[in-house]
Amino acid sequence: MNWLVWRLHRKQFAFAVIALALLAAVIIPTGIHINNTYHHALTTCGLTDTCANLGNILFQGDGALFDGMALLPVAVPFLLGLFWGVPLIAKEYEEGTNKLAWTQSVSRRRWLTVNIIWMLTAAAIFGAATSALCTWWGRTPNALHLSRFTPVVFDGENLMPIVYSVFAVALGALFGAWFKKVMLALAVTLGVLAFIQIGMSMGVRPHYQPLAIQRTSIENSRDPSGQVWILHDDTVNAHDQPVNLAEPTPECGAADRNSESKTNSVVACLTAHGYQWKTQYQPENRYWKFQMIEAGIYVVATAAVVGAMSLLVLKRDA
Amino acid sequence: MSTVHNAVQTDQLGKRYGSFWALRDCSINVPEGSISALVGPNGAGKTTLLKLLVGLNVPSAGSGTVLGRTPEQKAEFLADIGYLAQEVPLYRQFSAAAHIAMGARLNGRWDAAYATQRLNDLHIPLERPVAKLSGGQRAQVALALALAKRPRLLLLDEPVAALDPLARVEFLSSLAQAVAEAEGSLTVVMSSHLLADLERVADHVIILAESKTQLCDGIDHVLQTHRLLVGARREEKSDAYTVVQATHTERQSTLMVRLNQPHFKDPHWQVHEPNIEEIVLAYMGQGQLEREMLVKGGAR
Repeated sequence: MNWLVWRLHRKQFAFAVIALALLAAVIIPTGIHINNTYHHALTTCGLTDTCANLGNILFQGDGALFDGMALLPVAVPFLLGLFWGVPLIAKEYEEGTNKLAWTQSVSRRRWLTVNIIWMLTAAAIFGAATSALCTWWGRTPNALHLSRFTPVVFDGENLMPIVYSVFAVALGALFGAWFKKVMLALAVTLGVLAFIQIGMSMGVRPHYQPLAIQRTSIENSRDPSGQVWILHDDTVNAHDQPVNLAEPTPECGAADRNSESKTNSVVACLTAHGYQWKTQYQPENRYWKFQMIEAGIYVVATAAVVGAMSLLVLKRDA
Repeated sequence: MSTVHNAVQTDQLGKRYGSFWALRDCSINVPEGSISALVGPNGAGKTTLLKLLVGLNVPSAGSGTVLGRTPEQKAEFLADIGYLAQEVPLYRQFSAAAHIAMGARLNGRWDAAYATQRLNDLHIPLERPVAKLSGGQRAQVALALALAKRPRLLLLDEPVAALDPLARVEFLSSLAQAVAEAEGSLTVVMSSHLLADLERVADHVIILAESKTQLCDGIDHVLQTHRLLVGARREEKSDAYTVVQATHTERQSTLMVRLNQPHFKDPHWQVHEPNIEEIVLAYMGQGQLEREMLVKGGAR
């Protein structure tokens, strides 16, 4: 069976290795470059007293690079799910070769088990390689206190690319087994993966633990320091209700954009009436806990997906 | 363990897809060492029956015993069965040689030398991807793979349907040769909607029509027990025979009958000995007839 899986899928594995090499060819030189720039800046920033503020000074023209680097590791699980996961079983059904494979002296269960173990292991290895490259690259932005906790960056570093790759491949294989058609399964897998990826980072992840809250005065408002994940920034009144300062407040009227002194007096008035700047966020020290929780969710989800796929393949007619 | 006399035995076997019965009340016996032609019109349930026998599909009703076991997706069961699906599935990018190498790894008993020899004798290029072979060559590769398992039962689903006449003759003669080499240890069930193809190799016939078994018997016995009666129009029944198909004109009746007694003589009838093809066609027509009568009955 191992021989068969290898012979059938070695081209896909080879393509993935090439893609990974291309990825490394981008990541390694730029990673070295930004790291050198950073350390060079560290040696000179003392002269201009900008050492604490390097994150706002360096790499201002490199937005495309940083955005691209954030998206690459997120794309990898999608590609694996679509090009490894979906065809794994769908292609066999589509070309009828399942009837060849399932009538050799190998049980259907064993056929499925070996295929799944190979694919999920390969996905974990490629996910880990992607993660290693991106986490290594991310050490410079991280050192600059650009948060690794925010969505997309969180998805691209440490455990996430590994578990997400494994899950994506399992999900693609499940839809392939379900629909028995490669194209249909590709479309459904793409849609569902995107939905899950967005839903997890926007809807589920913020709630693993109750949000921490920091209140500062509105005169001197500031966000929590460190690699935190800020979810809400609001001005709140004395009753802790968010208010929009562009609108006049009952206590102090409206701030005037054109008059600094007027604005200052309004701000002083608001502060006196108990207005505050309220930040709700996940603190830096929860980063690894969140990585663990989310990895656990994906591991359990993968097990459920593999179970459903086994039922489909083993219980249904060929 | 007692000796298994029937390679295949089914009892009221049925398969339903949704509300549609693809096969129903199928009871057949296939003696060990026989070559059975499984014939019937398209959609009669031939593919479904073969899939049930190899365990790819699970029956909705009845039961079947294949080589003394209930068909299932287990290595021990599958080891003794060679199966060739209708669409002749092969991995397109694999060569014949790669398929033979695959078989060696997926089967405990595997005669790679035999498969290689067969394909060499047929001048089929072993190293070319099968996607680049002709339909006839692919069918030969698939047959060689099924035979390399050294199976005790070979189930072939319309193996010659897609082949041109010359490739058909070659395929069937190479099958006949394989059966001869096996010296009675190989049972073959082969489906087709064209009886003429199977007549020259088969010694047993199973007729499916309208998802039901119409006949399952040795061809010699079928020939002995069926007669074509031609005479002046007459419609009454007789204990001497069962009518398979009757056609009446105003003055004349033509009956295909199964005799219920060893010898039959009646001055009313001119008695002919039909060939196997005529008998099979009569049975296929009977299914048609039954359906028409049902429709008429429903209309009344």
